[in-house]
Amino acid sequence: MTPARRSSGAPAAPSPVSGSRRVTSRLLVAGAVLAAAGAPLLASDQYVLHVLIMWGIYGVLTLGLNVINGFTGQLSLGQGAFYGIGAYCAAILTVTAGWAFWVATPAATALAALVGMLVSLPVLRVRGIYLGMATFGFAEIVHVVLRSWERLTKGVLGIAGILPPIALGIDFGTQDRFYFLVLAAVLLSVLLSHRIYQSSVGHALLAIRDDELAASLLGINTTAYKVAAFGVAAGLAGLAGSLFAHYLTYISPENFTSVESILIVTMLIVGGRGNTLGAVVGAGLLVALPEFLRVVNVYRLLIYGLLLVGAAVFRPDGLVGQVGRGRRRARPVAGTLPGPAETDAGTAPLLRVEDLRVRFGGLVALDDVSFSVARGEVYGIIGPNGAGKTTLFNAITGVAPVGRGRLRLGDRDLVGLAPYRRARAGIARTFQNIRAFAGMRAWETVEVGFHARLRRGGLAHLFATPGARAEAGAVRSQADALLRFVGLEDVADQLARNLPYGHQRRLEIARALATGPRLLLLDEPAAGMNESECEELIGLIRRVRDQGVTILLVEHHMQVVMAVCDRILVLNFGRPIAEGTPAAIRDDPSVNAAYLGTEIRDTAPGAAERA
Amino acid sequence: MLLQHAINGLVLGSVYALIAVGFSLVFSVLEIINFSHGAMLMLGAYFGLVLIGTLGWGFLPAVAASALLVAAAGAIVERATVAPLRRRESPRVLALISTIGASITLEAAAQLVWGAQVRGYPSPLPAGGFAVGSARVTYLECTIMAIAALLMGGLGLFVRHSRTGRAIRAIAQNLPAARLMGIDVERTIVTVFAVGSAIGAVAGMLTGAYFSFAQPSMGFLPGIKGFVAAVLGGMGSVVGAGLGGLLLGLVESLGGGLLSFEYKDAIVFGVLILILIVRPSGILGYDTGEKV
Amino acid sequence: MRGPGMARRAVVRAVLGIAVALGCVLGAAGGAAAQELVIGVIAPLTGSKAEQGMQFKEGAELAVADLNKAGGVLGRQVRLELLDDEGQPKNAAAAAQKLAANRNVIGVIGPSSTASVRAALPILERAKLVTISPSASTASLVTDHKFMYLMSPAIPFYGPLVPKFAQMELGAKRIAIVKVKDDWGLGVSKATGDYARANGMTVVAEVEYAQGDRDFKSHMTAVKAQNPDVIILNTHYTEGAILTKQARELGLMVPIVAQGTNVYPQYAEIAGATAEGALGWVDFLATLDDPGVKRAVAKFQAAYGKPPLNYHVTSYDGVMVIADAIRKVGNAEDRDAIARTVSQLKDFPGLVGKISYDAERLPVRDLFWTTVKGGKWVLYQPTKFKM
Repeated sequence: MTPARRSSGAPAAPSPVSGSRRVTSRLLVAGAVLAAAGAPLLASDQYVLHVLIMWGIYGVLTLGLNVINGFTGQLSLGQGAFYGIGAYCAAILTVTAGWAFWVATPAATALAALVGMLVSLPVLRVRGIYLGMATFGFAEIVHVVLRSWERLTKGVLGIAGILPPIALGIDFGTQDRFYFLVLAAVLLSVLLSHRIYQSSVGHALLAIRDDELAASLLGINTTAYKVAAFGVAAGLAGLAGSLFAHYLTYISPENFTSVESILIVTMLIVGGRGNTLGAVVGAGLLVALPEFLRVVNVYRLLIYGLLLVGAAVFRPDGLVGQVGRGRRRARPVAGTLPGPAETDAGTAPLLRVEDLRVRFGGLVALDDVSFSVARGEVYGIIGPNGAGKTTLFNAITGVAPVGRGRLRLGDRDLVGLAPYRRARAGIARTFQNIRAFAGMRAWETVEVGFHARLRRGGLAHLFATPGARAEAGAVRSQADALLRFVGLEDVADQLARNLPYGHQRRLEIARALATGPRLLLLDEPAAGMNESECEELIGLIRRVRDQGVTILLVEHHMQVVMAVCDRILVLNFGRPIAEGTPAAIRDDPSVNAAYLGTEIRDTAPGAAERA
Repeated sequence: MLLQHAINGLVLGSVYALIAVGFSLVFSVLEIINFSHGAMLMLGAYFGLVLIGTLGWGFLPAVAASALLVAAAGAIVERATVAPLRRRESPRVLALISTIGASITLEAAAQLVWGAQVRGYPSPLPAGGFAVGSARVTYLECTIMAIAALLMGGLGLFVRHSRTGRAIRAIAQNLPAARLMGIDVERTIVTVFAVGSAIGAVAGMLTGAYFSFAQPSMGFLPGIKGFVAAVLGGMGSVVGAGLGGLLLGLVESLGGGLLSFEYKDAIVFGVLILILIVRPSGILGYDTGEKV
Repeated sequence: MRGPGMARRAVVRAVLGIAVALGCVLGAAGGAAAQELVIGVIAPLTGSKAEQGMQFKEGAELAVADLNKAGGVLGRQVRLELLDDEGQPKNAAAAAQKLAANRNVIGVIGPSSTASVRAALPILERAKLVTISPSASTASLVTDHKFMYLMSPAIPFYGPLVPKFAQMELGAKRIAIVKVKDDWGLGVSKATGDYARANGMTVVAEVEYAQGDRDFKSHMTAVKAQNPDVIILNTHYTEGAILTKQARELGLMVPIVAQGTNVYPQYAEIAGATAEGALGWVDFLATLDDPGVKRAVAKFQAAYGKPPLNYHVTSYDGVMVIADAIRKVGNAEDRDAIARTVSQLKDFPGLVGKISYDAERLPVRDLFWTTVKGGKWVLYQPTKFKM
């Protein structure tokens, strides 16, 4: 959907302040990289280099875990499993098959990523703590397999004699040179993590983290993203494993117990979950601290445990804390993103609901509901509480399972389509209880709505190709336009959850509009609004309709319903009891009876509250 | 041989059931996994060891006293690591991390106090048993099963009929509503932790007696397996915990004996993952859907 | 809260975190005072093998104290650098790095397990540090690494002993082996099986379990079904004791011959009455009626209030062997010479008996047979068995 008034085509000049900040941060990054590269010269002590190398390896592990735990919000307690798989894969390929480090390492990374994705397919069906325990169980299984599958892994004897990497005749096995290998891996991982976070890919992951359901209803294929994130996390763990194997030149199963997974999670929590820098810092602290405490080692475990409790209780965001995605990077670019395809123009109804039946166990929530909505219509659905209105929305968007009946959008049959596919077909909705993305700012919230309309793939956005950057710019300008459309342009930088209730509702509408829907489902948008706010809402709904969007409105505020709807359907106990124009419904006796006899003759203010 | 494996499995399962019920109770009221539960088992074993070995108490009085001490420990853990998170309405994963930290801390403290080495454990009964078909059962094994059954039964009655039990079930259904109904939610939660830990302590002493040893790390694996049993039987259900425990013991014993010793643990965790994917509510649990 | 402010604070905190981490690393690295000689000990001071680690610590500490009392080595005082590897190979490597980086380190005692030794060996070898493990017994560790030495008897030496004993002393023909799945358990069980099969015995059951397993009913049930004449326990004492107990509970009453740490007092303590009559061999037994043993027991009793176990003795001996080699070479710098000198050890007066290294650089020590009597391991005089 494109707003009638488009923003001027000229890109907004970045303010001088943000420009200088960018230069400073780039200098800082360059300085840090130089310092890291110079470490072998500054620290001639082999032991210090050893600790730095272990820091790097754990840094890669933690950065990987951050992608699935931090960015995507899926609790994985199994990172150690992929660490072990990568290490053993690399060791076996090197020792038994004679492969070089340079080939074995990518192979180990790829294998770990593959196993990660395969495992994630069934496992990601569970959420939260159960997912954590499932991944923990997987880590235990991998440990047992590594220990017991002697023919492949030599069991407890471990694999010794892993040759150090050699290239162009140079032995990279020496401490100094191996340090550079690890540093390269760390920098690569940091870059990957940073790019994920800043790009539309990370944006989608964060949306999944904050509210997976809302994300899927924006057209984001949440399963694919979660699996991919899991794969990246596993792949990085595999990379770390290969590095570890080649560094120690000897690996045994005891390095890869499930406790190792807990250690990596601790690093992430202590450093800062959801944060590239935090991952690196956490890894560093928890590698260096034990070394320092080796002298008072009897207390090491105690301190470690207390640290974990302290971090969870007092500083759950970790040392580095939550960091937003920063200022908007993309320069606004004029241009439109294509919306959902309109394969069927014409006069046929946009939405057709036929004999819809939805049950939850023994309760029939919707019973033989049939209606159709014409293009450009504002169709209202009212009824007493518990009538099944929200269930109807859930059925249309694919959240509630349909027992019987048909749902058609244009010429597409919706039943059986996953929610994200329905969103891509052109359905968007807002929610009765606002489902904002907790960690996002207003502009981010709206921008993520455009996600399904991006034509350049995730990889293009990851690598910031020119085409992707142009697309991101288009997204920005269109998001700005939408914010203006709903009147929120002044609060674009505010965190969504800090906005007043009414503003959050408008933000939800903007986000829904960002998907370019043909059909917009508004679920009680006027809830909690006073009279003047209702008037504003009525105006907004009309403006949305004027853009060519068909609207389905569930509402209790009769003032709004009567003012804005072309036709109304009345539900009671899951059954339709009346359908018609607002005037007809107002006078219908069965409707009045359903509302406990209260007459809704008046649409004057105050009377609406009695309905 | 099958019969012997089965009997071994039932004994093992009885202990798992006792551990599982602690997880189940906590989960039912708070929807968190108390990772420190395994440490309660270990503490119970050690307190018992001190009471019997150093102070010369009899076994049963030691069990009772140890259970009380560990109940207090459980309450302290709840106040220190879980309650603050609840006050702040933190995401539940933090409670998992926090209790993991508590578990490590307790294990480390035990190691400092009692040393890391393995210690022998006194047995409450003389050695010996009797034959059941081609298998042998010791008196201790019978006692373990009996104690487990008694405790589980008692706990079931407690949850069903006592006031606190009703409060527990109310909180499990709907915490804010329970609070509004005047139920002292905080006190009940602490009680849940205390009771669960106390039962865990009994499990610890039984484990010590059964395997004849105690070690600071002894709680970790049984704790995890107790969790698997709770998931298997259905979180939030005492009967489920009992069922899950017995089932898990059988799976482990039969799987280990008939299929493979080495992959025994892998089989147990494989079962866990399968249950979580296929039927996360467990055998007797109920499905808590997400309201949109 | 505005974006840039938050980000800046986060960066500051991140820098702080990195600074702390770096500080820890540098603090851990530490300097090295000149003129002192350092003996490094890599031991599992925490973790499941902490008991062994403690023996390394106490044995080495006592040895260093004795050395310093007698004037040190080459007139210089000796300091002990104790590093905890938690029984983890990767930490053993870290500890080795630390020791290798310190020029004052003249030798290393430890690590304890074969896996940890393997992880630490490349690093210590590069630094040419003589490394003596008081507990490892895998011969291959020594074969290709000329700076590595064992102090406990090696598997090729004692591996065939137990089956031979079972055959000659107990007349056993059908043997059951229970082994722990680690380097040692697998190695010694292979030697056991090889000897048995080569000498007309049948291995009717060979059961393995993973370190940390506690439930062996299934295992012993399977063993019982095979009707062995003797059960050979190649395990650590906790599991060995539980295995013994559970075997007897199942009605399996055949003789049990154990080795490894099973001969510790805890075995009898944990297994209780069921341990009675078990047999085993030791390289050191505190209850032995021997003047050297009595001296050693008195020494440790005075210093620590308890009698020593075998790794106390081997750790003590390890330190003394290193000190002696340095004295013979005349300086602490020529590491090749020091290693060579150690390899030529002949009839060195250890704490309890004489120590020599054979042509394969494996230790040659006396061994004794023991049995559990009255809840304690005591000397056993074989009637039919000859070494």
